[in-house]
Amino acid sequence: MVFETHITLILGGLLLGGIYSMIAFGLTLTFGVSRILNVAHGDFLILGSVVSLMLFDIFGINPFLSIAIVAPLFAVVGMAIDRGLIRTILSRTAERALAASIVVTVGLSMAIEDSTAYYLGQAGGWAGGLGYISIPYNLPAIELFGYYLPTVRLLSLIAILVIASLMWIIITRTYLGKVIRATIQDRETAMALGADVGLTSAITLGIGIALAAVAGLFYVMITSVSPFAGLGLTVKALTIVILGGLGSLFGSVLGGLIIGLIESYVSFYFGTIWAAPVAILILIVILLVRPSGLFGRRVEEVRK
Amino acid sequence: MKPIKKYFSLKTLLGIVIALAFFSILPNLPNILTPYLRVVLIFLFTYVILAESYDIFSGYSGYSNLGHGSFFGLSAYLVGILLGGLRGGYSPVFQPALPLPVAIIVAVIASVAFAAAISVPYFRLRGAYFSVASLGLVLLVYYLANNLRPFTGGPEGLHLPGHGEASTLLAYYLLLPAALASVIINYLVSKSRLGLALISIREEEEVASEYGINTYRVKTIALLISAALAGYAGAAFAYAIGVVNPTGMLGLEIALAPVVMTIFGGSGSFSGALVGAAVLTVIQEALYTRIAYFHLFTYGVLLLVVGLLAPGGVVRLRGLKKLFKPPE
Repeated sequence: MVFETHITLILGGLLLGGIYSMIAFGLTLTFGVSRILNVAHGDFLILGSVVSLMLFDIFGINPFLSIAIVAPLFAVVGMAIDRGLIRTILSRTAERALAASIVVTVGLSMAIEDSTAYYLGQAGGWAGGLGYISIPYNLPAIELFGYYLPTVRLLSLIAILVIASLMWIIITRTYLGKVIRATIQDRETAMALGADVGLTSAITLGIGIALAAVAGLFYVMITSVSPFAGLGLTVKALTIVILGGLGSLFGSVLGGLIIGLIESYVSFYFGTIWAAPVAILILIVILLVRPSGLFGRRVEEVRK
Repeated sequence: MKPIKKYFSLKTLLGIVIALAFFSILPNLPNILTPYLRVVLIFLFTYVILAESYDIFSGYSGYSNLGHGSFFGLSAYLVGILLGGLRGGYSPVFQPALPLPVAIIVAVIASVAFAAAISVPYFRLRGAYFSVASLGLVLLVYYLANNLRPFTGGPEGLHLPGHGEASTLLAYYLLLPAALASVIINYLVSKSRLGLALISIREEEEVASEYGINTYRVKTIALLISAALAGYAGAAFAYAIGVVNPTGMLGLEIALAPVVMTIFGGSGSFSGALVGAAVLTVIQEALYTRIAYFHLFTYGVLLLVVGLLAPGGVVRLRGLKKLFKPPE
């Protein structure tokens, strides 16, 4: 029995961690390449949840198949946001650009949350007017070595693994990945050597937001999602980004998994309400012991 | 007399006295100042203190402290607990019921102590990374407020005993001088060695450090001043409102308000924070009372547009620059 509990906890933690990794990875990408903070990042996760629920509810599309619709849709949305909003900001000095990006994306986040809440919260309307949504999608549990495992969670985990490998190939094996890594390391030099930084920042924001939306698709299958959860998720992703290491893509993925597993265990032993603050407490401890995060470069190098 | 003359012209001093007198008399004219307007002014003063205090540290040093609201919320909660706030449904662990001045002093000291404690891990992060990490502080205090139910009353929060018209009026007079003081302190910081040191950190921290500025100490001093003001605002605001709950005191709308208002108005200048706080408070009130739906949406879009069109905030817009004379 004890063993089975641990399997459930680890499986749940890995899935949650995979979802966190996806949003943290997207944030690291956009922050690393464009040096802007996208406060609305978590809200795109919520939007991804809403769109996938719509596809499931209205058109009856299997959640796993709707990845093929959600991902490209939000990639386009992300690129449009880069062209429409972020591009004007990027021409300013680094400090002003960061400040402006905070104001602009806080505004964007408020606009998204308010309109989502309005459409989800109407009594008698779509989604029941409760404000909370979830996808009632279930498959019969599969039996493995005498243990019953939740199929939807396993499939989600496998899907996240596939996405992660895809991202790994893009980052390490393609020209785009090379430009992204170069821009994260040194924006000016990358520009001087002929990298199209403007296009790269548009593509990375597209990738980041698409990842967040797909993460939302998995998220809404394991838990119920409220329109106002977006900012909290952004903060969690930011915590993971710093925890994993400044500007380290790999660190953000591993940091996500670690936080997911810890949250899974903490909520089992201490209650679900303690899962959320634990991530921040861990961050503070890590900063005291290792200021550059788990996989970050040394602080002096990250200065620029 | 001489140091005062150095920083303020006679006209400015006169203006300060007139503003203080005007707002002091205002609540005594019941025909003009309705209870509703008084609450709006309480919000205004609170936001002015929050924006100015945020600007003292972040505007000059360039370290956007997105966790500024945690000082405010922490202090609000301490005042709620120390005044013997009633927790609906949860039996309290301890119920001290201290007098108000003691509660405020303890709450402000606690905010400053909290700021000093978190400065140790967080000042290991430079520039933008500090901003990114600091947003977590608000949520940390939020979760603690939500979870430590025997102390904080959980999601329902604390209800201050004996709250009424008189306490709102007292809170008005607690917040008014503090709001004025925070504007003046911000101005004085900008004219002081401390302010110059902070600006040099904003421009190039490494070089500032090489020229003999103890950057760690300078940042800490500014953060502590900023935390003390925010803590005072939280304490007085909690007393004014009478209900201390996680969403009201630590929700991201109020926690990010000082950041948004200062950047909106123009950071690194006392006038920018003042204009941002005043304009956005009025707009918020107008939206919430006049529009049935989508006030948050409208507010968000407004922030977005100003963020895009005014790189240095409203006070640095071409037409308004002459009026406010913000530093570059």
